Amino acid sequence: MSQDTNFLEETINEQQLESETRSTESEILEIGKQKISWQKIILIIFASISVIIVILIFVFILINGLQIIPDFGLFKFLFGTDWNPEADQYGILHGIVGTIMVVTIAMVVAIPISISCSIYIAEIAPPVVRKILKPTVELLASIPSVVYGFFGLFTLVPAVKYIFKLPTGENALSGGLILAIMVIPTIVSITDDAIKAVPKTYREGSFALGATNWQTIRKVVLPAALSGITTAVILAFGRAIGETMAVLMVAGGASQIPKPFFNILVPVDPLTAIIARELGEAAQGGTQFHAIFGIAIVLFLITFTVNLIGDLAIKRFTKKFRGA
Amino acid sequence: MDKSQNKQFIIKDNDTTESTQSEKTSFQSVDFDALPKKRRLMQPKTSQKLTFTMLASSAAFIFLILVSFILILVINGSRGLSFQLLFMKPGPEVEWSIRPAIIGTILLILGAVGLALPLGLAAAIYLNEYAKGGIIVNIINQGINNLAGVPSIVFGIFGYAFFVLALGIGKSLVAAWLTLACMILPTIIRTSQEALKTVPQDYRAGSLALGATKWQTIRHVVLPAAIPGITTGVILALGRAAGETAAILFIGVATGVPAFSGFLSRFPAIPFELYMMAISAPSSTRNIQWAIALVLVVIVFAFNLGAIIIRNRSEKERQ
Repeated sequence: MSQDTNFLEETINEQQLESETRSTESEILEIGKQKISWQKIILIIFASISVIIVILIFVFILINGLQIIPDFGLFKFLFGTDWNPEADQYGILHGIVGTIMVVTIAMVVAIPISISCSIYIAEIAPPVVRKILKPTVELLASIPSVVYGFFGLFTLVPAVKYIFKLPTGENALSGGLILAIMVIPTIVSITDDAIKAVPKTYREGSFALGATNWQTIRKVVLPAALSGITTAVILAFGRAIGETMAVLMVAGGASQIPKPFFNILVPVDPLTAIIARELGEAAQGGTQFHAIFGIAIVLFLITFTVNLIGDLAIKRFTKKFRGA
Repeated sequence: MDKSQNKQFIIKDNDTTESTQSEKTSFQSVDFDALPKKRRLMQPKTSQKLTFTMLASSAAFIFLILVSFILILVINGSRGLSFQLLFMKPGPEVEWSIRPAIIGTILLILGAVGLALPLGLAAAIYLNEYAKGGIIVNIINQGINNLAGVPSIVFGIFGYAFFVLALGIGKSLVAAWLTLACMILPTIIRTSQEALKTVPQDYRAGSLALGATKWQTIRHVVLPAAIPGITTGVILALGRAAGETAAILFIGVATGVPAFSGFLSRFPAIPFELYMMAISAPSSTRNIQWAIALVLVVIVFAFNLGAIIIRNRSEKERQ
């Protein structure tokens, strides 16, 4: 499509130039100047605002967050086990462990359910079911995270408390399960798109060889859609890491590392929850303030890398089927 | 005799080489040949039935989650819902009212989208109508993608450091507008781009053939045709901004303040009201909390349904 417009533009420009070739050189130079119109310059400036915002975010988090290195020490900050602003201790290892735990639980629960759901929606479901299920999943994505947190706090948390007979149901398992529900729509809709993008000829070729529908899906469609599915998982992973309100309300918020470290039934405190809970209390310019911005640097870098990998995967996937 | 035997032997030899070759090629493309050698637990058709049931049940499970979510929300929420809660000004007789929070949220999202729309639309027009690829466009696209992936809490902490502290705006409605505008900018750019892409090339060609300049074509032909798509994006952005909590947590949102007390003062919002009540209000107000959650979900769903309806209608018109 863009090629068509380019072609149009070029022909128009050529026509203009042809009609003007008889006029003087200065006039031709003026046309050349007019080609960069003021509208275009303004539009470029507006378009680059996103880039400027990303740079501003990075710069301002860095300015405030890097102060934690002279204030407290990088190693002690990243691997310290004790977070206690009253005693001037700012180790965030418990936050990193908390984030890893809730995100791992979320991904372990969400990936199988959502990938099989999207295979069903994309390949097997009759059109009517697809028409109901797809908007349903999209609706699930639009529910605000604070509502998920509230919902988890008063349904999931009591259920977990009752089932496992715990003193409190606010723990890594509850946080992980709520996160799982939140990332399901992301995985489902991107995986569905990836499966739909596999050319029909692939399936027809497989059917022609006598394969059943399931054999075709498993051995032809899914391998072809693999990079798209990987993208879905990576983007969901990035979203789960950055999710705040739900884990803040449901994960418990205890500044401790679970013992043993795989015990998912103890309260944890993911990185995002630490930021949300403590920035309001932190004195501007103090060590706690800098520590919280340090956490934001860690978060920003993780999500930045995850999204970059996701983008690369998307590019590889679209390249693969551009010809088809 | 000897000769003929020799010949036969040669032919046989040829045959075998050919067959191995064909086996090799078929193996490379699809390895169905490997299938019969495996011991099968069950017939392909039975295994297909089994897996399809499993896949369908996982889809049903997700459907069940949403349905039970909505049922629990509606049943619990309707108990606490009242005219007083939604529409009466808080005062001595009215203990719980989210009227200020509703008005506050409306002001918040309108301002944020009002700031983000011109910027996002301009970016989309540049990327779709003017840009011809190259390093600048790549950088801009990368920037938009990265902005879309930034967690809302990072927007919140950035807004606090930049708008509230560095620019000295203070914890206020304007700072929240700016922060939320940064957050919804990628949504608006991407949906506007999609909308511009669906405008047929013939429209542009026709306008250019009539002697219109490129800018005139965009303003009078392309943009009017893309309005349904752009509206969809705006509505989705409104919905996202309405439910956002983490990004405005440090930017001036507060409970118990009037709906609007100036652009530079603190403001209420429904999601924050819900959060504060959930963690600090007595459990006797639980039904009121469910009602607030219900109101928030209804608002967000209404925005999404509106977007879907507009999208479907414009698709039908085009066909």
